[in-house]
This record gives sequence, structure tokens and C-alpha cells, in this order.
Amino acid sequence: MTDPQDIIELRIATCIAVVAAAIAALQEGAATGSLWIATTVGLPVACFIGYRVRATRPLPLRMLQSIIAILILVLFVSRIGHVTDLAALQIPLAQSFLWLLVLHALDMPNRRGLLVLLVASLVLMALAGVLSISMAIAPWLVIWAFAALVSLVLAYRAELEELPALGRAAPTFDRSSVLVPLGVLVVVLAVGFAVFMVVPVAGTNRAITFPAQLPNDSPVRSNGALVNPSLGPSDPGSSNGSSKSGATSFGYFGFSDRLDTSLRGRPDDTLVMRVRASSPDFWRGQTFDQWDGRVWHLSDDTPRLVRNGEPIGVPRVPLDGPTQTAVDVDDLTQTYYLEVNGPNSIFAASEARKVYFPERSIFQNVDGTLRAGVRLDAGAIYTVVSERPLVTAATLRAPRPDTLPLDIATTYAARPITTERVRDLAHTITANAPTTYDKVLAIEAWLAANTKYSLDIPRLPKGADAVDQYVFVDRRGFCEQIGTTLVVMLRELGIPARLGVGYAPGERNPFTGLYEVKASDAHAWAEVYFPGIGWQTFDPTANVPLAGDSQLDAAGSGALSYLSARLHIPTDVLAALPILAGLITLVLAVRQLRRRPRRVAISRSWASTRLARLERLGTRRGRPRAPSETTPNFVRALGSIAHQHATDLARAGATIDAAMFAPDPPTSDECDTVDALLDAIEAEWTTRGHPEDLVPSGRAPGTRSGR
Amino acid sequence: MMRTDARPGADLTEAHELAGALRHALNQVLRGKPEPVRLATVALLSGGHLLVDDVPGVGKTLLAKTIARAAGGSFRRVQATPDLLPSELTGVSIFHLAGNEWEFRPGPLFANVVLVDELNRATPRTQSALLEAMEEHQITVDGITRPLPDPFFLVATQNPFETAGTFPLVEGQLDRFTIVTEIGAPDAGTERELLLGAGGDAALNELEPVTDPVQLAAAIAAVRTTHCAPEVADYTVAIANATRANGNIAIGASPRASLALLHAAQAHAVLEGRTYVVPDDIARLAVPVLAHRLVLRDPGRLEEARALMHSVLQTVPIPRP
Repeated sequence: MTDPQDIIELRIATCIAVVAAAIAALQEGAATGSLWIATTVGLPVACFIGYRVRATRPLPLRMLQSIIAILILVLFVSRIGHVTDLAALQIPLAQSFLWLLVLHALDMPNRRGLLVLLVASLVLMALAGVLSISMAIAPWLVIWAFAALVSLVLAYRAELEELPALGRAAPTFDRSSVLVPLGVLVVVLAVGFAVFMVVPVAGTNRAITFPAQLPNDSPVRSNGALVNPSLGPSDPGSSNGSSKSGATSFGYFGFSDRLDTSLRGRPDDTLVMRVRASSPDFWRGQTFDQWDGRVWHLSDDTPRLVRNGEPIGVPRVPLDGPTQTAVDVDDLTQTYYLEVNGPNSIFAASEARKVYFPERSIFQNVDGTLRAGVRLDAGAIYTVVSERPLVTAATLRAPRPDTLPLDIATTYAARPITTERVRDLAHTITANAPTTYDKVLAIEAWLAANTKYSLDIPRLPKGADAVDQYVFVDRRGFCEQIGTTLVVMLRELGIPARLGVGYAPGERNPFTGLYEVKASDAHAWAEVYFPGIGWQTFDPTANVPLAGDSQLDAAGSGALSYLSARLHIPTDVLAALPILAGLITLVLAVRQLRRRPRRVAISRSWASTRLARLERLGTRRGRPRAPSETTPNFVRALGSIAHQHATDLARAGATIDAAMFAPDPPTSDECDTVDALLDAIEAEWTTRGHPEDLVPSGRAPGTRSGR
Repeated sequence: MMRTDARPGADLTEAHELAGALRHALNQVLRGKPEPVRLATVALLSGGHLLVDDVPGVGKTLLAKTIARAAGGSFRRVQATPDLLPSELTGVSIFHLAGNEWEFRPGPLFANVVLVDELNRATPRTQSALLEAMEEHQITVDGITRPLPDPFFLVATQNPFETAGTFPLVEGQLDRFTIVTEIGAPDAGTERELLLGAGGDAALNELEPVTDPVQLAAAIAAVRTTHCAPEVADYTVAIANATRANGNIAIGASPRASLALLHAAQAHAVLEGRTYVVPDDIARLAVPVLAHRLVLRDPGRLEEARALMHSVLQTVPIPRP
């Protein structure tokens, strides 16, 4: 049989695995131009050279390798000189690692070298997985897994053939030899899934710097003006702001200087952005303060320039919440990865306090929301750290000094424009609600009981009041109607409120840990001011818990529903699978235990493969083992060929026999000794000519030390 | 020696030490003959019996006497002649006039180690008297069954080339010897040392017992607990089957023969310091344990049976789990 290192297919499979893993890693941001060439061209070439010179291993090549390796190390050290935190090491480390891989591919004399390469590719794949924010690595993962599997099978073909189920050695089919690896596979899957479901979500708060990146830096027309290329011709920032159809694009027309509730656009399922955050929240773009009965306006659309350190600290504005909140606050870090060209609003959970943004300056609206001074196109990345009061129902109900800041009272609590019957309704609904929070809940409850949520609502008739039409005529509506009605009724009651627009959290992809926000997640909601606490978001349609009530989920939470939606398999069927797998595993384990301790079975297959290796060695030296020859006799014969190993060979034979026939398998140390001996003999007999010449002087052939 | 350790396997450790001491003692006396010594030790520890089959003067009797001395306990020696009577082996009941009762006078078989020299010179009638003793470890005289001492180890010798006035052992009796071994002439160096006083009778006279009957019986019992993997049992059966299937063999190894082979292999494993049997134990003992039990189509001497058994062994593959 050919030795594994001589199989060209093995080399090719290993090479493919490494290249696939390297490309996956490069895709996720570890790339430089030279590395792309090194990976796609250098690795295969190096593998080929490594194959050609595997037997000779020319000295000049190995010296060159060493020199280049040292150079790579020096370069790496010089590059990390100014790096202050470990996370920033990731990329330079990966790049140096890739270069070293190319070097290593040049020198793979035997199976072990190939396996080192394979393990290295696993590391690269893991790196790609860590850096990844999407499923883009999936194809490479599949290619890598396939190539790695082929490579492993080829490398261990000889051992595999010793397995009773596969080998020609034992034609009798032994079911346990298939069940055992199958059981192991099931156990690995079940345990992996369980770990995935239990391990908590990785917080982003521990990192020191956050990703921020812009694909281009084309500035918007005027300072801080709102542009929204996703609206197409209806973009208020574009030259002809006349058309207001909106329905022609996937964008949400709420990201504009006005929100006309008579418009009926329906955003599609385009993926707008991915958000890395440890808990869901509303990703807010801006808020509206002025309501004219049909359209929301910004009373003051003159953003101010914010330009300070890095990260950019967001100053408090008069219309913002109180400087000292009455409840605890926590930081929610969100990293936004834009997938399409979007509005230049900088989304944030309220209230943003720090922004990691590639530009040194951003703009702040009077309500505290933020805009970029440049277009935010697909590929843009920025990170916002928001401060959230940890409110619960109890803290919102708690009585607070009824001192509204004057700015807030005049801007947000003025008597709204609406019809008399809406005003009456507002008072009727909330008559029995003692606190602001209860009033909000009462209105929400009334809307839930008396109106239907629907995206298909008739056009708003000319001259009609939007709230009146929704509450008394259509009795159907979506977030805009619900949010607007809440705001209007609360203002009627003297409670400061405003309309926020942005995105609902979106669906959390449990595999990447990122929220996937679609265009259809665009949303409008009511924000209510609580003295001593600040602005609180209320929305009966989106399921976002109060900040103080939200718990840290498991990393894999939602995995079942996520998979079930994509595979079209009911959740309970999916949930039954791991349970079923666990049961099968249990049954297999019990059966295995009853028949024979599994470690004995493992030790027997170990012994069988090692004996097979000895046999191959013997065959190579012209001393094949006869089928009727016992292990001690055979190793004695081998010992007379390799005199210096005679004693060790005898012990190896005894260990192999013990592994096969003893009630207790040999210790792993004993097994390691055998493996080391086999490796040593194999290396000797592969690289050099005649072991007879290697008998150390002063030791007669066949001498045994008294062990 | 007190047993202070109740761990399983502790018995086997002691048995291994005892076996090693026995072998060492035998090697001291019977110089340059490791293989007969090994086989004698195995036969003793497996609870079986030993037949030494060789020409006179190579140390058959010396080996038997050394085993007896090293093993401690009682030792009796019987010189088989054609006029040897069964009762002279087993013992007789004598009427005691004074006590007005029958009194049993035990014969030489009532000893831990019994040497029957030149067994093939005894008549078949006397030979068969040994059968019950060897197999059952008991003797029935005048309808009363009396157990033999424990352990009971019978060493017989015979000269294969002596034909005049001999009665070749019948098959059933040969089957009761666990191992048949030859000794062979020593090499020149060993013989020279022998002449100069090393080993031999001089060494035997200096030999101290290395054990006693109680310990030896415990060791023999422990040997039977040696682990035997199913594959090893399969291998033993395969060897026995191969002898039955062989065209040159009229009657192959009986189940008793394969059982004896396994017990001998257990003893060998213990001698080698293992707690489990490996195929090598079986393979090494197959010829000395099985060859003398085979009935060949062309009856010949033991040499031929050994050669045949050896060739049969080459056809049976070693088990590989």
C-alpha cells in the first residue's frame, strides 16, 4: 500500500481545505492584496513544491524557510508596536499566520506535516467564524469540511481499513463498529447544540474599541441635512423633492423631514442592516415633534455640528432626558453594519452617549438624535454606546416630582390638533388610570380591544384627521396610526410625548448573534417623557421589553424558531430532534456498557491499527508477518532487523497484545510510547537506507537491556 | 507468607512470584534447559501432570526430584517395573488384629509430588490404576474413596526408544498428561560445567523449597482466574478444529485437550507476569500440550506428532479484534 504522504489526492485535499479556510478568513477582513495572491497562488504552489521535495528536503530551501519565518516574525512584532489591546492583534496575527502557512506547505515530508496544515486551516476557519457577521463563510465552511474530511480519510486510510466494518481484513459485518462512531457523532451534535443553547450571549461591552468604517466619504449637500437614497426620487435631500410616492423603493419614508401619515408605502424584506447588540431595542433614527393632524414635522431641522474626541461624545440637549436619572442606567453597545445605502441618520437605542464613527464630526438634532455628515452607504459600520435607564413597570409607576422642564412641556405637551371626540375619548379611556404609565397602558389596551392591526388600510380622505379616521372610522391601522394616536391622546392629557421613527430590533440570527434588520422592520412608535427618568418608548406592536425587565438570553435562544422558519419544519419537531438524539445516545451507551466497556473497544481498534503499522513496516523491510505469527514472535523478528529497538519493540508488542486481550486496556502513556516508537522506526526507515548500519557501537545486535 | 492484600489480582501477583521462584530453582539444577523448565513449571501451576519423554541420562529424574524439592510438601517416588501392582501405588487395607478393624495403608500416590519413573515399563493394569488418581485427584480402594493431597502433581518419565519389555501408554492415559516434554542433551558448555560440579545433583542437594503445599494450591487456584478474552478462546477452538480437520490425523484434539491447553496457557501467562492470556501463550503451548494426544493415521513416534502439530499451528491465523 502507498504511504499516506505519497498520495497526491491527500495533498490536493489538504491544499483545498487550507485555501478554503484562508479565503474565508480573508473575506472577513484579514485581507491585503499580497495575502490574496499568497493564498490563492502561493499556497497551491507551495503544496506542489512540498510534494516534489518531500523525500529530499533540500537544505537551501529549509534555510530559506527559516529566514523568511524570522522576517515574518520581525514584521509582526514591528506592526504590533502601537497596538494597545488584544482585540486589535487579531488581524496582524492572522496575516502572519497565513504567511507561515504558505511557508509550512513547502515542507511536509510526512503525514504529520499534512495534519499540522489541516489543524492550521481549522484555526483559520474558527477565526473567520469569529470575524464573521453574516453567513457568508458558509460555502467556504462546506468546502473546507469536505476537503478536510477527504484529507483525513486518505491520511488514515490504512487504519480505517483495519476497522471491521470497512476493512477487507474482517469481512464479518460488526454492527457495533458503525454504531459507535455514529453514537459519537450524535453525542457531539447533541452536546454542541446544548452548549449553544446555554452559553450566554457574548457582550460587546468588554471590548475597548469598536468597529467603524465608511465605504466612501462623499458629504451630504448641506451640513447635517437628511438624505435618504433608499427613497429614490422621494428623497427629500435629492434635487426634486416633489414626488412623494415612496412605494417605488424599499425605503421607509419616515426617515425624512416630514412623515405624512396619509402615505401608504410598504417596505419589503430587503436586509437593511445587521446590529450586534446584547439585547433588543428600538434602533431609533429621529423623532418628530409637530403634528398637524395628518403630517408629522420637525419644528427645528437645523442640526448642530458635534466635533470632539474619539469616540465622539454626544452632548445632552435641553429636550433630552434629565442629567440624573432616578433609576440605574446601563450601557447598551450597538454596532451597525449597513447592508444597503440608507439614510444618513445614525441609528441608536435611546439615548446615545458615545459614537464610534469614522468621521471626526457628526450632527445632532434638537431632539438629541444624530446624523452623519456623509452618506451612509452599504458597507458602512459604526458603533453607538447608549445609556438606558433600567426602568420596570414599578419604577415607571412610582410617584415623581411633577416638574416638567419648560422646554419639554412647551415642545411636547402642548394641546394637539385633533377632533373633539378624540379628545373626549382620551379622557374617558384614562379616567381610572392614576399614573402616566397606567394611562399609556389604558390607551394601548383600548386600541388593542377596539382596533385591528393591519397594513392594508384605505387611503386617508382629503381633510380628514388621521387619528379620528383611525380610531372612529377605519378602526384599522399600523404603527404610524397607533403611535400617532398614543402621542396625540397623551398630549391631550398634558403628558409630553413624541413620535420616534427607526427600526424594530429585527430578528436575531442565533448563529451570528446579530439582529438582522429588514426594510419591513422600519417602525414608528410613541415616546413618553417621565420626569426624573427621561424618554420611554411605548409600542404595543413590537415585542421589546422594558430595559429593566430584559434578561440576558442564551446565545442559541431563537435558534429553533430561526431554523424552523428557514427549513419549514415546525419548532416542536426541531426541538424533538436533539431530545431524540439524546435518547438514542443513551440507548447506545447503555447497550455499549452492557456488552463491553467502550474503552476496551477503543483500545482494541488502537491495537489493531498499530499492529497494522508494524506489519507494513515489516513488509517494507522484507519481513511480513504470517497470519499465524503471534505478536511477540513478530516483534522479535523485527527486533532482529532494527537491533537498537529490539527491547522497545518487545515492549510495544506486549502493549499491543494487552490492548487486544487484557481486561483493562493499557495506559495512555504506554500507548504513547508505542506510537513514538513506531514514528521513530518509520522515520528511520523512510529517510535513511539501512537500519543495520545504525547499530550503536558497543552494543551487540540483539542485546536486550534488562527491563 | 500472610496474605495482606485482598485486591483482585493480588493472588495472581503472588502466583507470578511463586512461578518465577519455581522456575529459578529448576534452572539452578537443570542448567541450560529453559524450555523443559518452563513447561514443567506451567504443568505444575496449571494443576496438571507432566510426562518427560526422553532417553536415559539427560536428567528426567533430576527434573522431577527438583520439582518435588522446590515445591515443598511430601514426595514419593515409584520405580515402575512390569511386576508393579496397582495396590502398590494406591495402598492397601490391612486388618488390624489388635483393634479388630481394617486399616488403610496409603500407597506412594498419597503425596504432593509423585515421580513414576519409566512409566511405560508398568503393565497396562497398573498404568490404568493411575487414571483415577490423575484425573479425579482421588483413589478408591475397597469401595472407599479417599482424596489425594492437594496439590497433587504427578511426574512420569519414559524412554521412547526402549521397546523390549515395555507397554506403550494407552491413549486415554496420555490424554491425562497436560504436557509431554523432552529434555535433550545439554550443550557442550553446560555439560562441561556439569562435570565440574555446577548444577545437577550437587545443586539439588543445596536447594531449599521455595513454597509449600498451601501456597502452591492457592497459586494453582489463582491461575484459573486469569482473564481469557473471547478471541483467545476462539483461537484455541480453531486450533483444536484444525487438528480434527487434518487429513494426517485420525483423532484430533478432544475438548479436554483444548481445556488443558487453555489452563496451561493461563499458567504460562501468570509465569510471564500477565493477568490475561494472549494468543502467544496458546501458540507456544499447543505442541507440548496437544501433540501427544493426537492419533496419527500412520502411527509413529511422538516426534512425528509434534511436527504435524507444528504444521497445523501454521495454518491457524492469530485472532485480531
